[in-house]
Amino acid sequence: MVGEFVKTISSQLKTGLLRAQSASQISENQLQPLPPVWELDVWQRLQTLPLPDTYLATVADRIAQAITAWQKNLDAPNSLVLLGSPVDDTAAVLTAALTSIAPEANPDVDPERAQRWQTLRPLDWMARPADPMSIKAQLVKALEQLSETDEDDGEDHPNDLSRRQTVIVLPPLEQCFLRCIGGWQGVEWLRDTAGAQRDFFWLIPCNTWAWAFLTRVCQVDAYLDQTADLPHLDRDGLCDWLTPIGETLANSPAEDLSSSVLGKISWSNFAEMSEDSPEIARLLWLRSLRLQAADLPEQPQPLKPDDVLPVPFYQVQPTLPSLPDLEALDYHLVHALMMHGVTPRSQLALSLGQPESIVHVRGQTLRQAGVLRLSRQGLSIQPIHYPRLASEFASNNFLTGDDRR
Amino acid sequence: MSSLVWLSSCLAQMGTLDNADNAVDDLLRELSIDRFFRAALSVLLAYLLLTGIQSLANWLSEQVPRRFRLTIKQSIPFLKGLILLALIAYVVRLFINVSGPNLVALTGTLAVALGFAFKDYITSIIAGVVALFEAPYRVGDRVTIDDHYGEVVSYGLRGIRLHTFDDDLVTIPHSKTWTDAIVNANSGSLEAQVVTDFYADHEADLEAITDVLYQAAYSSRFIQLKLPVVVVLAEMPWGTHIKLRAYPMDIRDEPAFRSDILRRAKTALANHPVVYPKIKPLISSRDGEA
Repeated sequence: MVGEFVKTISSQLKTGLLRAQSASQISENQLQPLPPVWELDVWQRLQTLPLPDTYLATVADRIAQAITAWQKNLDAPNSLVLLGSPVDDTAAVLTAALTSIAPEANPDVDPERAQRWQTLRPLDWMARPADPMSIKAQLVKALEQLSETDEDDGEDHPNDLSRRQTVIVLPPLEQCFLRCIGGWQGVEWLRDTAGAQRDFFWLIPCNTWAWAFLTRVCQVDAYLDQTADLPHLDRDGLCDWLTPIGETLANSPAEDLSSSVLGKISWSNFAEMSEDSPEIARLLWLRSLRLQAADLPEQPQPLKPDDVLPVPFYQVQPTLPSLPDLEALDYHLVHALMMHGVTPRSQLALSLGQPESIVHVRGQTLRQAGVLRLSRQGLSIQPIHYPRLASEFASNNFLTGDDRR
Repeated sequence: MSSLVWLSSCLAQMGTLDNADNAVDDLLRELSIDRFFRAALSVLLAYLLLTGIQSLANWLSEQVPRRFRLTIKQSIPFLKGLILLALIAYVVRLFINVSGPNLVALTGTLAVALGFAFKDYITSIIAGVVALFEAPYRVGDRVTIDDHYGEVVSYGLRGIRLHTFDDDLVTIPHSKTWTDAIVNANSGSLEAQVVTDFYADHEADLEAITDVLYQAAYSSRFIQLKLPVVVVLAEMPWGTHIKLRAYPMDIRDEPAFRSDILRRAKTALANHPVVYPKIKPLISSRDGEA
């Protein structure tokens, strides 16, 4: 806890010093954030920015390594849980990593890493079903055809290895349960089934907060004992990943970068603040963009997909936004979203044991404060607030993703 | 001859009186307006400091992360004690010439006076000082003293104040620590075990009920998931007494936590055919003993 506090203070000091340094070059008072129209355009470009190849390669290597071990060794674990923070799209990372080593999608892939298995996705939903009590039934129905072959006599033979050709990719585990009575029966069934069906390899994305909860309530870690964390995007990785998109926004490719402040941010401080998460880094980078007040157009027009910004832009050292004052129920609401990922209000109300109207009001307040965002699937955490929220929850005695055993 | 003896005796007594007068003169410093003014000023300053520290600590403890709340609250009695000690030392030195013999004379006199006039008050103050170090209760703890259960919200010179679930403020003298049992539920930590009682019929499916109770506890938003949840059963003539033992993240949430578990469990158990005892148990106390 003291370590967290010191880390926060030192990060804020560093950011302040770096901002003061850049202010000596161009007064920050003269710089303004992007107008909302352009900010949205840049945000959409950032969203479509694919994850770095090295990042995906690290995940793909880990998956290939686990599957190869399972195919070669009878006693090797037959599952891999890929763990990411609640704001990382772990399922998308998993899919992208598998695609990167699929021979049909990438014929030039290294033969050592190339897929030598068949991938099945028996459940097509990525968001929790409307009726959380039906999750177990849906899992059973989708996976019932995956029974052991008839000739299996219940004992392991070396020949069994030849049957190990199928990898099952499941939806994010946080979308397979709801914290209420009977809400995690599906996970218990999945846990038992994955342990029993050793001829299949189970790939399961999950967020660390949900994993910490499920470990305590139904001991999933005892059955699905092989886990891997998403890799970290360090200083150099972030710089190599995000600098090119800045260059595509610059007014002229020939523009001398040293004349602007573009790219002159401290990437180590940036990586520290983003906690090495690509989703937080995208938003932080967006927050670092500035225009000179004199260059701000009165009515900015939306940019076309390949347009550059019509005026020069600058970068300042970004900072994490402050948290608003949270009420007692806000803590529980945000904690539930950390654990469950994107969740509709009706399910949040069921989980929190509160009337939906109250959850609606608090959700709306937090959304207006920028802590939450609303999509068609429901409410979720605004990634830029994650580092401070995680620290706040740890200080307030909540179970967090760091409490995994 | 006898007149001479009487005279010498009178002179001796007068000498003793003179000595006594001199002793009092030595004991008390010269009284002046300036000294009274300084004493009044120091009392006022101490009062302001005490009030300020109490308010600041109460405010600060509600602003900081929950983990630090009790640490701040628990520092209040020590800080108040230090201020009072400094005040007493300063005022005594203002009016009294503190030397070895004077101190003996003064404490002897005070002991007799206070022993008769303020025996209970002094007992409580001394018990309060001892309790600071023995810590049978601290500010922020949940304690049961006599029949009163609540959170210690204030630690005064003479006693503590308990804030009960019924929103009453109960003042209890420190001297209770000499004679009565003090039950402290959390003893300085944020969490304390909360026991929720259930009653089931002999024919009820105890395995299913136990499973529902575990899930009710784990589902509650108030629960501290880092600490264990236990369900224990006791056989009674009228049925089975089930106790769910779990810890909320913050002991302040105790009533809400218990209510949340009960509500969730009862909703889930509503679908079970046989649950509640056909013969109602007689509840004798709040801990659910029948």
